[in-house]
Order: sequence, then C-alpha cells, then structure tokens
Amino acid sequence: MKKFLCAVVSMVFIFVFSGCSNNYSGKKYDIQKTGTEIVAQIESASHMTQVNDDILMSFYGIDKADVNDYFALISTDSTKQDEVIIAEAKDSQSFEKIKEKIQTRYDSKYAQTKDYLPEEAKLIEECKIETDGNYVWMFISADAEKMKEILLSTAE
Amino acid sequence: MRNSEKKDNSGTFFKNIVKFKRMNGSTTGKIKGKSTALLLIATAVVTVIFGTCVFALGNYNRNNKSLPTENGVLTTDNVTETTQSSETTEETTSNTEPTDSEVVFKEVDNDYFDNAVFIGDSISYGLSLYVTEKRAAGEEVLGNAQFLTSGSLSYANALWDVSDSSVHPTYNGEKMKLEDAVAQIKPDKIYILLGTNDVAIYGVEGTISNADQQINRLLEASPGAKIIIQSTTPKYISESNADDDLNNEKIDQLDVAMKAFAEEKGYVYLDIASQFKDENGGLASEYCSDQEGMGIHFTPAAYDIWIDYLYKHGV
Repeated sequence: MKKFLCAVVSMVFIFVFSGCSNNYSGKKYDIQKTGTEIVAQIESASHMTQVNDDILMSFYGIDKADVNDYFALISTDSTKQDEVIIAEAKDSQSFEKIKEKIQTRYDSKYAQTKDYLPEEAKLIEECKIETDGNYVWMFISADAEKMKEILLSTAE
Repeated sequence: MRNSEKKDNSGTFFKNIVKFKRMNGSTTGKIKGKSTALLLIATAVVTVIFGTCVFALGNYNRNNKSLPTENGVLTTDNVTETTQSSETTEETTSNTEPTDSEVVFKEVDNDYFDNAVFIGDSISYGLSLYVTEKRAAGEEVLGNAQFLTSGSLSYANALWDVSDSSVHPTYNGEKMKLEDAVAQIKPDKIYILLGTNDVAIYGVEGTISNADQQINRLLEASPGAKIIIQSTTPKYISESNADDDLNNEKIDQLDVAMKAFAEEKGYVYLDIASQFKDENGGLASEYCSDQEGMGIHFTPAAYDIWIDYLYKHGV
C-alpha cells in the first residue's frame, strides 16, 4: 500500500512539474506562411490590420531587435478583441521579454473589456498564450483552434 | 477802529486757521504763517487727487480682467496684480491657454500633432486603431501623435494604482498611470476625451473633481503642456440601452460643466460632441458602430469627421 501511494504521489509530481517546463519540440515553424494562410482561410482575419514594426512596439512594447520573425494582426474595430501574434525570439532572454509583453497585452485586453464587452472578455478567457522553444503565439479569435492548426501544419 | 486793529484783522483769518492754543493758554503745536497754511492746503488737495486716481484705477482693473492681444482676441493671460481672487492662494499647475469660446482656431497640418498625445477610453481607442490602420497603409494621419487609450478608462480609475485588474493603458507594452506615460512622452499637447465612464457613477461634480486631479498630475508630468479637453460624445439610444444609467441628459450636463471648468482653468475646450449629434441630441445612427450595444462607439465615418475637426481646430 505504501509503495502504491508513493508511486501515485511521484506520478502527480511528475505531471505537475512537467507543466512548468518549456518542452521544446525542436520544430521550426514558418511564421510568414502561417500568417498568409490565416488571412486566406479565415474570414475574420482578412479584415484585420497587419502589424508592422512600429505597431509591434506601440501596441506590444516588443522591440523588433528581439525577434527573428513575427506575424501579427489586430482588429481595428474597438468593439472586437480579435488578435493574432506569432513570434520567434532571437534567444532565451528575448523569449522571456516577448512572452511577458504578450502576456501584458492579453491581461490588459481582458481587464479593459470584462465590464463593457463581456462577450469579448469571454473570448479572451477561452484563448491562451502558448510557446514552443523560442516560439510564442496568441490567437484571440473564435477561430483560434483553426489558426493553431495552420501554424502546426507548417512545422518542420 | 484804530489802524493798528485794522491791520491786525487782515491777517486774522489765516492766523485763526493755523494757530491753536490750548484752553489753558499753552502754545504747543502752534503753527503760524500764511505760507504754511497754503502748503498744508496744497498737500491736502494733492492727496485727495492722488487717492482718487488710485481708487479709480483699481476699480478699472477689477472689472476688466482681460486685455486685448495683438490680434484683437481677448485672453486671460494678463491679469494684473490688483485683480482679487479668493482661490489662487496656492500655486497651481494650470496653464493659461484660451478656451473654445475665446480662442481663434486655425487649420493645422500633420506636424502640429507630432508631439501630441491623445488620452481616452474605448471611444479614443477606436480612434487610435483607425489611425493605426491608416498609418499602416502608408497614410500620414495626425502626424506622430501617440495614444494612451483603454477601454473602460475614466478620470476616476485613472487616479487609482496600477494593478492586474486596473484598466490603465499600456505604453510600449507596460501598463502604467497616465501621468507616468506622459512623463516619458513629454508631449506639448494633451488631448483628453473621458467622462463616458465617469458621469453615470460619479455625477457631474465628482467627474469634474476627478478631472481636475488627473489633469494636475498630467501637467506636473509635462509642465507647460497644452490641455485640450474634448466634449464627452453622445449616445445612440436603442431599446437595449435605453434604461442604462448613462444617458444623453447626463452627458450634456457634464459637457456644460466641463466647458465651464476648462474656461475657469484656462484649458482649451473642443466641442467635438456636436459633430455627431442627431436632431434629438443623441449619437447619429450613421456614426454609431454598436447600436444594439452600448451605443457610444464610432463608425469610420465618425472617425473621419473627428480627425477633420482636429485638423481645423488647432490652437
């Protein structure tokens, strides 16, 4: 009985701590191809504005010098919170900075909309920031799952 | 009457004016001589004339606080030292810019907005998105003006500390108080459009009080910046929002009070709200993007009008 309990506890610890690590799959993603396909395949994305380096800084506070590549879309409708960002950081230090900035952006969008746009706030809640190695992405969209599929399909 | 008595009587009048004695015969303080009497009379006359002039000048300055500028426009810049004010005993950071009712607006170009910042709630956030979209497409809009905007922002909650749940806007990716962002930007013009998220909760007086506090903080962060308050914009009334606490009556009351506040403090007041009203004083349907929602957000057509108004109302 004691051994059984130890095994169960060990399994629980392994499960919990594995979630804390950034397990890099080793894959490389084609960010630009992902962006192109998202715009082509998803109606809502086709109406959004593509982010340039200036917008990347003003909206996210992300310095282009910290990224190898990125693609991002923002909604220009103030009542819609749809947003797409995929970025590959240059190194682990840049990765932490970028991830923190995107998290701040995510948190701000939620805080701002939860009172006056509750449906949009719910959409934000259902979406999440994900990472793989030095890649970080956030899809705030009713089509978030499809966007993620498109990204994963470009993996090498 | 003897001649000696006559001679004595001719100088009696003046002597009686200047000569005095105590009843007991003391001669202390006795002043004698015609010339002395004349001197005293002349002194008295001059004193009366001088005092009259000072009093009259003081009255003129109290009744005329403004003096004409070179172009004939009255401003509140030239208040003289004799003007009395019971409310300016402490040093304030308010500037003394002309208000909407007094200033002559001028049409400006993009350069004018290069060092401007626009502060606002979701309505201004929409403007920032619209401007961002145009700039991303290569258009030059509002120069290099920056935006500190956030949904649900109000004069009140902008005064609170930053927290995970606060709605302070981000500046370069960092959430911070308006004054902290302004301290980094150091704008020369600060456009403000708030109040929609204030008036239904804090009333007109509470909103003005919070506005006063917040604007003082902004001026401390960027001394000398021109404060330009934009009138709180109207609401499109529909069945879904007709019973909400926010209504056009409260918005209009706030705008009247805010205009008076701006004039009192010497801030510029831009009545942009009037550009979007329908015949009933609400937000015109063609300018409302959320008619079945809150009824306060703008369509692209409204943003175009707003931007055009800004270009035509430089100060």
